[in-house]
Amino acid sequence: MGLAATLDNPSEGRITLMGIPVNPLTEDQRADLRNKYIGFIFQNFQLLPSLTALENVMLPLELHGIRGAREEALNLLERVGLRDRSGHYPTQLSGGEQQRVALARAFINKPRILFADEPTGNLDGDTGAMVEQLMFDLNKDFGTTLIIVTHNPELAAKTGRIISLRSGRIVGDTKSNG
Amino acid sequence: MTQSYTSRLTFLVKTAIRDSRKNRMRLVLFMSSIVLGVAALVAINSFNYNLRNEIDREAATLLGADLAASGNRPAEPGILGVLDSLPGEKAREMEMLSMSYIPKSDATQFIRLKALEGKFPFYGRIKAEPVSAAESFRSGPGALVDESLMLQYDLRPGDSIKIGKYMLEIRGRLSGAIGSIGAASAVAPAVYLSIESLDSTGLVQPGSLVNYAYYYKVPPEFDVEKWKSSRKKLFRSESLRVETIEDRKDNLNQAFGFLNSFLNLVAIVALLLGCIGVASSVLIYVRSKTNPIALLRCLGLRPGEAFLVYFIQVMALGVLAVLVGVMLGVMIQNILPFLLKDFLPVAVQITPSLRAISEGLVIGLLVAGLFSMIPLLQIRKISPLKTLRISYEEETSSGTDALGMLLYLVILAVLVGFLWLLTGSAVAALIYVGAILAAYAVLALVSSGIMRLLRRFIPREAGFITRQGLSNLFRPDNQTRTIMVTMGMGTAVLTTMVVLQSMLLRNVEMMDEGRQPNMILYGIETSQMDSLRTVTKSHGLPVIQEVPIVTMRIEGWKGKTKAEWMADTTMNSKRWAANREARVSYRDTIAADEKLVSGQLRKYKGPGDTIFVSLGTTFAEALGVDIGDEIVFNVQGSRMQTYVGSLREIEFRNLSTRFFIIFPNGVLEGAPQFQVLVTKAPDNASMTRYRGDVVRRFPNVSVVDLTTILQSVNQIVGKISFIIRFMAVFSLLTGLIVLISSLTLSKYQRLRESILLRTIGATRRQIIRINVTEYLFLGLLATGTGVIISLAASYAIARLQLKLDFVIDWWAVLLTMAGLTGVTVLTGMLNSRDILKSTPLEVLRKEGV
Repeated sequence: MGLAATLDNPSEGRITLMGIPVNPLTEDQRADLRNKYIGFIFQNFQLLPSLTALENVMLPLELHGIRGAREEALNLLERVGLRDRSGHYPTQLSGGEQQRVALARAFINKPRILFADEPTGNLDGDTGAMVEQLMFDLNKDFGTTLIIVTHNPELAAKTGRIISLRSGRIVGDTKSNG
Repeated sequence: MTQSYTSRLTFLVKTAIRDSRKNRMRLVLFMSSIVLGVAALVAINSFNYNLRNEIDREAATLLGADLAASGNRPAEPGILGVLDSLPGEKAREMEMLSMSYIPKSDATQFIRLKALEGKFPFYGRIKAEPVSAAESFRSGPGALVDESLMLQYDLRPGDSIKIGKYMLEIRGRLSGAIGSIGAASAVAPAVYLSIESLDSTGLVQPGSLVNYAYYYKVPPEFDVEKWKSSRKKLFRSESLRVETIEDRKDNLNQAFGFLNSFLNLVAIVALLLGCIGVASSVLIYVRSKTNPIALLRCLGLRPGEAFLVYFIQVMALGVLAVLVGVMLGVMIQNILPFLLKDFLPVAVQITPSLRAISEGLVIGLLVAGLFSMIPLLQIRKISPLKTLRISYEEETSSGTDALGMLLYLVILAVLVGFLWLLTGSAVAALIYVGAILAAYAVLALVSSGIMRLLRRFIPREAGFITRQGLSNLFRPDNQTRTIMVTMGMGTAVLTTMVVLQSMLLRNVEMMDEGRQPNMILYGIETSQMDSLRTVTKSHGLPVIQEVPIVTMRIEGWKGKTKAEWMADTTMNSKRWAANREARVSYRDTIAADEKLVSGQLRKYKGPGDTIFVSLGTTFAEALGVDIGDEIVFNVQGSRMQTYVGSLREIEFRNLSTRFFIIFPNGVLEGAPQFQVLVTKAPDNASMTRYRGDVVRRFPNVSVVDLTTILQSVNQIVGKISFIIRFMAVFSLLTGLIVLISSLTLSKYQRLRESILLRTIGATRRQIIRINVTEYLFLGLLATGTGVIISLAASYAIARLQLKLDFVIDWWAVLLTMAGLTGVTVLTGMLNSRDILKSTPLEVLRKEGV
């Protein structure tokens, strides 16, 4: 995932993302690419502790210099059911709430690809299910390509294609009914 | 990106402000380093500039005339004629140290006699009470007596004081005099009288230690500088020191050179510690910010922009800290003149110096900017991959890129610039920077060496705790080198200060140690010697030394006359050596405080034999002569050809008689001479009795009480050391910040390990012991290396700059080392209190281990 999301450099081989060859890009160009096309959801949420929920969500748009980020962010927080908690800091939110804020942040720049690293790994069953549902709903609405990295076969089964890896090698590639 | 530059910058500023919300306290260490460093710089420099301005303003009053000529013997008629050709007014002064007798209290007192003739001072005035006394002492048997002496013996105008054979009436109290610098007048209280009165005391005799001065006031339109420079050659060949107001300014600035260079040293120390403090505290901050930075990078922030976000944060607080530092510096500057007032010839007016303030601002901002950039540049290398893998190691973290190299070069250039500004010498600045780099290299080498050694040689039989504690020092991600360098540098700088301070004090104390004589009797006529010896013995005092003294002048050396040498532009002899009225003694032995370094003392066998003299090395070097060279003396009219037979090194810290030139016995016995007797009184009471007796029976004899001088010197040194300590507190505070910063660096590393240990069942006690072992070893190692570096540095500074004997106060060194190691362990312990207070799970969750 690190390689696909342009976070890491391949030691060999070529990576092409949306027709753009990634290998020759500089760090700055990769940063721009991520900001424009890619969203992230992490197992441990990765919210900035010193930013409120609203500010965390606004961040990618502000980074892009887009006006009206606040409205957009509030709408998304509404969508994940946290509009009334927009002024809270991450430490004042539960794990499920934090991951919902992270979801809102991931979708705000309408990414073409969303990378989710064990998105429910740190959540209990019910909360995990709720976040999962929200993620798939948003995905459908925004028309994003969602790539989930997971050990959870049930979650994997909900996607349209499963690529299995073992020791860093692809061992299976199946279409499912997701 | 179509985004405009300004909107991008606005975003970066906004992010910087938001990100700093909950972490501003984390930059307290950074701010404190700057505040203290800048405060010290501003305070010290402001004070220095104010003092210099004041000296410029007051130089005329301090000299009291437009031109002064002085020497240790009366001016020759020829030269006096030239001086007297100056238009305007003239005056004359004779100054000497002597004993006085106060009949009212039946006491004797060591005094500094200042005898005047003419209307000196022409500028400024002698402050006396009643005011009329400043004039009335100049006629008849009158004296103006220092107020401290008046107070001590409860004297009032109208009382008497006997000086030599002459009884004078005290006309008034002296409350302030021209040209008297606190420390000098502290040696002995001053008594003013007329030259006519001085003649009547009978104290001035051949061989008496008298300073003669001639003062001139010229009309305002007369250019005295030009007049003096056109007669430079003439004055050069004479043993007179000719001084104008301009020269006095320079001399005063030089006289305060030591104070100046010490204060500069403190400023440099504060600045260097501040630099280390800035770099290490920002490094801690960056470490604590790795995760947010990685995330911002994930979301599309460019590496350079990530750097800017934190640079903006750091600089905003940096500017604030610099401003606070400047204000604090101005406040402290108000205290400095109060502390130093006893040593200054002028009352320093406290005006904030714009130059010092702007220097403080510029230097503070540069230090904050440049030194915080060292760790901040690492931000560019924080990979966004850290969001996925906490333990991800940046591949590039070890090397320094081109930008980093450039930064280091700029820092070096700026450091040289600062130090140049502070020391006024490019060479000194380069030496300082060279020393800093060398110290850095030593610390880095020692830390690498120790890591290597530990990895190989940790004893297997050592217990788990010891092995674990020591292994922490070389395990991956260790902070050994960083801590060694920051803490070692801090220790080195601080210890240098402590060592130098104790060395200064020790050098002075050494004067007063052992069986050294504490009384010297000058100006004894040969005929008085027998009865004086009897008086001395009757008081139960030993006659430690009897020294005959013959005064003579040097007429020529190495085949040329003095006049020929003086006209010779290639001459490299020092004027003081050639021009001095030499006070010579004769003996065939080496004294206890001397060491023969070459040649040998050769006896004189009688008329016709060659006369071999023995010279002090300093004197021989100054005159430019060596073994076998010829020197011709003029012994009160008769010419005497001699050759250098031996060279002696003379111990000068010992307060007793010593001679640059020693003749062999059998040559000078017939020449006019006077004697010196050296004795030691066991206590004050017997000294007072003896002194009183001598002054009454032999009024022409001057008794120099070395104890008084030593006590005064001690008092002065006591005050100076107080100032030294006061200023050292600055360095200490900054040093502590550096220490805490460097140790906090390792906090994040230790945290994870300790949690894992606790998770697998280690007790709190075991974790504490592991940490103590690690910090103790690290502390001892860093402070030990720092101390060794500081000893080398203080040796260099003591020998090359302060010209002091290198004596180490081991207790002070050990105490500093123990203290710093103690603080290391304590800070280390405080750092791990988070781990010990909370359950492993809490921390595991928080740290995302």
